[in-house]
Amino acid sequence: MKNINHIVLLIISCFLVSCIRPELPNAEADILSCTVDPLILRKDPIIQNNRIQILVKSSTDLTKQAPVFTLTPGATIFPESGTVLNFTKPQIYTVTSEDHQSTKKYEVSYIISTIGSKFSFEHVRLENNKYDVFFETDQNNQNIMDWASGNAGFGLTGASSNPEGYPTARLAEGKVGQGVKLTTQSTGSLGAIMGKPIAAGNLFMGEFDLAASVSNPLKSLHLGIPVDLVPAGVKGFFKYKAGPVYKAGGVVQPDKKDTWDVYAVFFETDDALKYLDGTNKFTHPNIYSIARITDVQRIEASEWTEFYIPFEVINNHTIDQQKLKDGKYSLSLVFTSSIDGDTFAGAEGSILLIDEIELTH
Amino acid sequence: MVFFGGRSLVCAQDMDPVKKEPGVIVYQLRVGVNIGGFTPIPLPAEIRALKSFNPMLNISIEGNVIYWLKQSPHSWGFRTGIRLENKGMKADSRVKNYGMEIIGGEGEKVAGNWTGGVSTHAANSYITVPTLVAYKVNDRWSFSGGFFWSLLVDKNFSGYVFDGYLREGGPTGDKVVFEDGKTASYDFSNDLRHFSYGIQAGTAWQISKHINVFGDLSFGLNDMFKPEFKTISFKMQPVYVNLGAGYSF
Repeated sequence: MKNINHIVLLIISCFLVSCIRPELPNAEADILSCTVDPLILRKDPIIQNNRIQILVKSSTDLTKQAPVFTLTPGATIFPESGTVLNFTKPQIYTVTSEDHQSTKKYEVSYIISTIGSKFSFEHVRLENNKYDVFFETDQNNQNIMDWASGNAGFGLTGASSNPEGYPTARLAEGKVGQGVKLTTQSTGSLGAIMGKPIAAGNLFMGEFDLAASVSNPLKSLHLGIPVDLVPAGVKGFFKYKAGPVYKAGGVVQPDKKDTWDVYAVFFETDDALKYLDGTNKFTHPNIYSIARITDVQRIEASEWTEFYIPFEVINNHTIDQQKLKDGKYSLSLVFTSSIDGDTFAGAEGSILLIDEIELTH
Repeated sequence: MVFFGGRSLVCAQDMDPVKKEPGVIVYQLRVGVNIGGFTPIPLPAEIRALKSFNPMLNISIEGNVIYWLKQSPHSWGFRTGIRLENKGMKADSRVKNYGMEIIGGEGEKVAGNWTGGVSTHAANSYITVPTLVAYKVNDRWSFSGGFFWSLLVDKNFSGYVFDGYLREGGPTGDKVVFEDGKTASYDFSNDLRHFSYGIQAGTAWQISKHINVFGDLSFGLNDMFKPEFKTISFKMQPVYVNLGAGYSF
């Protein structure tokens, strides 16, 4: 009987193997890499699903730039990779998949301006028709930085059908004009299956790497954007209310109460370190200084309350002024509505409101 | 229906015994195993490779009745009966750009294209009625072919995706990578159809007066999933070989 089993298994396997149809042409239409003269870069090009941001030094001539792209195998791009274009305004490239069934438009921008030091969160857009993205603009109203958040990851759970239900959303009644509302949300049944029962509302300078968010959540936080000043402190206004039930990994912890966090890290980038992440954000040797809210300041507040956190120097290296000008130093400023949200501990319904943030230097 | 047709043929012969030989009714008990799997036919191009396959031990027990039209060595006949059988499989495959949609317990919907590993575990139990035409070649060999009709009584169709990535909403959507042992599991047991049917053809070899060994190949003709179920976009059908032995009374 066993022999017959083996023979039939072999026959079935051969049958199925011979039935494997030829591979279809690729359906994806991605830009996989973007190459630009490294001497003009303040930061490696930031490639997202529909957008590429290339941060360059102020001396760069934007009128004639020719970025070079690699694509999903078999895909084509228009305008062609390496075409010289005028990037004083962003350019749109269209990528077509090998099977010709899909196209994807990328907005490619060269950004000279560094971020300012005052953040009022008046600029926000709806991304993918799903969630809010805050951004900063320069004097020509060009987008120079998107504030990152975990919204794209939350979008995968299908747990909210409108932007207000996402962990990071606009707040109509800020301290002045619009502000930011960070809410710790439940991720629904799909998020719970993935072992991520809650999503803290967060806002940070850097990028959220959605691709890594399931397999390696700590590494999906890319912290840091180039700055040309040495920060001395961070101040701003907040309101906070902790959610009623604190859970760690889905299990209720009756004697723990949720709280919020704000911190900023100023560090040097080099070939080995392009950005910090959840594993080394307070410990990497390249860090120059850290500012972080203390337990005393980390209170609940129902009225707009001012906070101020000074930068404490951790590793007293000399600041290289030329590197500072070239954007080799980076800053990340991070807000979260649940301090242990990285490890999925916190209370659903914890809300942190922030507005009028300022870097002092 | 085939069985009742056979009965009326017997009555006709009683009235006119000179022209035709009397038919023979044989009762049989069969025990066997089912080896095969649930698969789309033909395999869609999204399925790139079968990485592992475990046919499992699927038992079948059948009681059937055959009516042979003649007693002589060559004869046509009809066969029907009731079969209690398991059909199951465990298979790991690699897919590319495989469109799927998962519905969460609270109605959340995540749709996208998966490229990577898919592990499937199916284990179903059926009550099956075969309705077949049979042909006896000689005292040893006989063949049969026809339809089978199955009712699903116990079910499991579940598994997980692993080692790959999901493009949300379509091939140009946001990409999420699953690696380092991260998986997302699915359970479509409640989306299986209760009633299915298909075609069956086989042969039996008489070892002795009472004992035979047989092999039947069956193909399901309708999709094993309910029509509202869109997560698996192709028609999944059971393809099984039933091997075993029978005892004729």
